[in-house]
Amino acid sequence: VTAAVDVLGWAERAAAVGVALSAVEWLALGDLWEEGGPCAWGILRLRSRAADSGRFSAARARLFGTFGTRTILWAQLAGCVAVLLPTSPDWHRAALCTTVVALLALRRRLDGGNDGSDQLLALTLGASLLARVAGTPHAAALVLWFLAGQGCLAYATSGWGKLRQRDWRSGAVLRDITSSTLFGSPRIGARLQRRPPEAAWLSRFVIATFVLFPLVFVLPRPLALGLLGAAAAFHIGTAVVMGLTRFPWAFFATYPAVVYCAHL
Amino acid sequence: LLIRARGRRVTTDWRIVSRAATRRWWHAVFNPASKRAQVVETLQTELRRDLADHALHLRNAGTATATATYPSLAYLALLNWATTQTDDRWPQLQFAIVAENAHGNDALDALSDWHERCP
Repeated sequence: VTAAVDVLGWAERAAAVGVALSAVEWLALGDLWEEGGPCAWGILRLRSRAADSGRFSAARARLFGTFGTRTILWAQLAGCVAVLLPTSPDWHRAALCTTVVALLALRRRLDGGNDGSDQLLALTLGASLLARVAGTPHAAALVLWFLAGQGCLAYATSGWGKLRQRDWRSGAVLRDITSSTLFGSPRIGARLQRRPPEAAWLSRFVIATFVLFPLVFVLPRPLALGLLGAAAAFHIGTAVVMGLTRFPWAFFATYPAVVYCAHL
Repeated sequence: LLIRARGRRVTTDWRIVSRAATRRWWHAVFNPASKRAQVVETLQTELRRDLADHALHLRNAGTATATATYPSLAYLALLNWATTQTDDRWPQLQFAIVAENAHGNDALDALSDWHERCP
């Protein structure tokens, strides 16, 4: 149990890298959310009456304007850097708290650009903050079990979702994705289009890895590590081929918890 | 490059190879384009849903009394950006803006601001 705090530290560091990356990406996409962009708060506040003309609409407009949003993003980035640095427990807790508060604020402001990886990163850091506030090894162990369960749930639901679709099983989806301009690679896309069986078997391998992932808790150590390695290879592959840069960090952040809880 | 040469003599410009490799790895580490795509997809989905709502309103209530759903207004300003203007739904959208009863001015301001800034 005493090692749980150290293991949680590794999960936090991986998640902090992913969240920092997200902040830097948003800062690079200022043309989207700054004044005059399609996601400027002047436009997005019109989504709901409360945001547009509610009691706190003026305060929210100041907070979510160009300057306010940029400040929140920099605060998030600074919080992540501080989480990565070796600091005292108090500073670490403060850094984690800053990051989580900024994450929650940005979920209201820039929710359109967030995906599953952002949700998982927010869950990881939010749960870690709870453990740090509690400040006991048992709380850290409890959060690690939560993160391990969350990771398994994420893989299993994603795997079952793919398994139920014929186009995933046949490899058609994989061929289409790798052939797309944004998430594809001309070389790999062309190869998979030329060789549909390769795409089908690759798809089935990914589906099997995801569906079977929760078995890491019961499989013998070499097989469980193999499963973990296959999932990690998938994330590195999607980062290199598809440019999905935050997913590896979001899922790698759950691996220390899986390794700890499955006694690998 | 070396594998594809298949025995033929080739001169490799390592600067090009390293530049391509750097670009590929950089793409794997930092890729704001995926976030931008996510934003576009979200907005397009919501815009499409809003358009369907408007069409329903127009069919049910007739052009004189139709009112727009409130959240749609946020996305009207995205028209130049997320969809093409040559779309035949454009007149419906124009009507939806005019028909908006509660926050019409805000919506029109947002839309005209966006139009002015749009290249």
